[in-house]
Amino acid sequence: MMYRWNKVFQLSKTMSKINFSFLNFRYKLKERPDPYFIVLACFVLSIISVFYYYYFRLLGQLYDGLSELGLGALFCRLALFAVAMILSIVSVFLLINIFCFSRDIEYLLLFPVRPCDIFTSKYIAVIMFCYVIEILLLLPVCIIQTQYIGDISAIITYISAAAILPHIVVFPLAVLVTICLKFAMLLKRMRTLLVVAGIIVYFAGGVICGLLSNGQIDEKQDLLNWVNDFIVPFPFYNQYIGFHPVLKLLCIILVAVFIGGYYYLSYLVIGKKYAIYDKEGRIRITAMKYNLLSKLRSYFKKEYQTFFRNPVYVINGLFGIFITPFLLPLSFRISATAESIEQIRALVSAPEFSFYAVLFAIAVIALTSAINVVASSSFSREGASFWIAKIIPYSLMQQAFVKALFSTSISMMGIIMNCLIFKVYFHYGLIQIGVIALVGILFAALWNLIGVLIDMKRPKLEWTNETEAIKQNVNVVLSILLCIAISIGYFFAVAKMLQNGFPASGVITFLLCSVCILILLVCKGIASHQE
Amino acid sequence: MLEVSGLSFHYQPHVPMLTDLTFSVLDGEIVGLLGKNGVGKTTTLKLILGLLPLEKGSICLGNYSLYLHPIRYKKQINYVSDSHDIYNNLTGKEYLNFIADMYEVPSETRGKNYTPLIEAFQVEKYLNSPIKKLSHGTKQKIAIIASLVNDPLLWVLDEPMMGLDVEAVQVLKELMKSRAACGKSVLFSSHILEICENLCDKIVIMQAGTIKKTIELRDNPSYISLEDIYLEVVNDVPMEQGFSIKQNNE
Repeated sequence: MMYRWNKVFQLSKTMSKINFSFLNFRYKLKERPDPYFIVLACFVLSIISVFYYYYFRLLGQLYDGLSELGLGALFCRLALFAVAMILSIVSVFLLINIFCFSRDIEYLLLFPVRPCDIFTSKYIAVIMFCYVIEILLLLPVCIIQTQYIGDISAIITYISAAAILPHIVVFPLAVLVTICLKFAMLLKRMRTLLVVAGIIVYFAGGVICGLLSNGQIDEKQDLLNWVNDFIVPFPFYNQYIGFHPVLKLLCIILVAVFIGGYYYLSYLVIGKKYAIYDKEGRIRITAMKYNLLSKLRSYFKKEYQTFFRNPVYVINGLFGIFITPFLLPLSFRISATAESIEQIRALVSAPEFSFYAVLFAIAVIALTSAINVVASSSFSREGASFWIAKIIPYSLMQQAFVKALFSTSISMMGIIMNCLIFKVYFHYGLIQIGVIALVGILFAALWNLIGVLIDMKRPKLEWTNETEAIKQNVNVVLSILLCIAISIGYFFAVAKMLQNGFPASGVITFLLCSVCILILLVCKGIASHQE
Repeated sequence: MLEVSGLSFHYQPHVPMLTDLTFSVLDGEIVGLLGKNGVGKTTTLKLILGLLPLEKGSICLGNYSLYLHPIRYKKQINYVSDSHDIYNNLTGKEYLNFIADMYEVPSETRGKNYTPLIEAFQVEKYLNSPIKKLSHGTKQKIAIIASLVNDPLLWVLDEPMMGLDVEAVQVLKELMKSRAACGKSVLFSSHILEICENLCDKIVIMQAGTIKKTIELRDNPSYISLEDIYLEVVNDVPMEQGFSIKQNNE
């Protein structure tokens, strides 16, 4: 028994290394690192340090603020709730990645390992990652609270909560994924689609229930009761927080129960036989038709087909584009009352404020379209097929422009979504929408060109799992950071212009002209890239 | 005619992969590239194809230099990779059409070029399936078919027989011979000496990033097998007494 569990944990470690190749960076430290790696490592470490420093400060200020309001006890609840939310989102991506897109099973089945052990180790790999993220997020929280309270009971609370929280978040998702995989086995098809659909339904149901039951604070509730009802990190938290510290420590035993639960789930799905089927490709004998397309159209079509036929790229590429436009009205829906939304709508259409409303909308679009993974992974996604891009008589420069055009078309979906929300929810005028769309499209084009240029210089071509091309790609991070930095620069420039009394037309003209100039400069950068 | 002269390449600083490589492939010639693992065969092919940056030396195909006229050079060349990594999310038909579009091959011509190859390799029923669902050998067949759409002057293949069934190997060999008969050049690397012996007009044996020997097989006496020649050249082991090797470059 112990030997089997030892094997399961060894498999989990191996699976983590297979699916998340950035963990293998430590092997780079054994080799002689090249200057690029050293610069990148310093850059990443400095970003992480700055982030952690501001995170610590923010937590300290939050605790001080809550203590002044007499709500110090809420600090732990809020922190655990935030971590639970983050772990929910992270575990979704981890579960989809490990269960649907990982190819490790093909190799592991060669070994004398039971399929259900492989499955259990996949669940445990997800849990291990969740623990790592949780430790990074909760450690400062624990330090701050312990520092202020000076009582060891806070440490015990955090340790036991941290031990069981990932399991409470992941286990329902694991059950859901198991059910979907079982259905996929029976249908012998649509494994990824069923899992993704199941998770979307799960979250959509949770959000809708949350909004319907606790969306607004009404007159009968005060803030504290609303928070106690709504901000619940895990189901029995209200009882848990009142437990004696020894009892809290005993709750850690639940970890073993959950791990046993994962094993039972694995046995339920596959038992002793491995049978996760993919539907066999249908064989149709049809007459070959040859369609002649220009190189640009053909390459664009190829980009479209290779992107949209890969669920990994679709989920990761379109998630930000389709989710972020809805965050704005959602945040208003949760935090604002009906009267305040009407006030906002009145401000939008008021002549003296309409221009500021336009600038705000442009800022939202510019920032949301800066978080673009499609352009900055456009060459990396070629992977082992990159040789085709170099063989064909179509220069890399032209291919880069087509890739930028494709990713801009994806960004435009988000811009259209944003404009619809501004029009329908915030009641922007048509002229306002026109200006927002024009400037937004130019910004999106600029971000996409920057992303393509960065990825073109040093594409990440060696990956086995498609998520590595997007999520574990430094070019994506660099591109997002650069675009956000430029956006911040624009923010300060426009603020300065407004302070100095520039007219609205002057500001818009400045935005249009400067973005066009930057676009030309980036195009020149792409054109000058030597193959 | 392909002319490669003075080719040198490093993957890492101070660790040369290729050193002053010079050889040519004449029109109508089938040239085999042989050598141990890691001597630089694939690197040489990748440099000829423009997949790796040219550090030193020159590569010319006909009137076009890879360095000076890359697009026109690439229009005359095509490649079959050893790794069969092609666009997995496209169907076979879509991939063939895409490659034909890139080489600007008109619809009628691609029909004429593709149809006999599709029938010869018997892949009609697989062309509507996504490439990722196809077997290793079927992917290789589709890659071979796509590589002939532009009727290249130089056809480069890296370990082309790997993964192919017996019938497909026969078809491939016939294709290589027929292309040479039409005055087109074929350059391929392989570890299967029997195939090289039957197909090639010239063998280039590489060792430690350089060409050890170039052998015109037309002039090789039939009682000396290529295996014996290869082993002697690569291992510096003299053959048994009584044999003497006549090689063009000695």
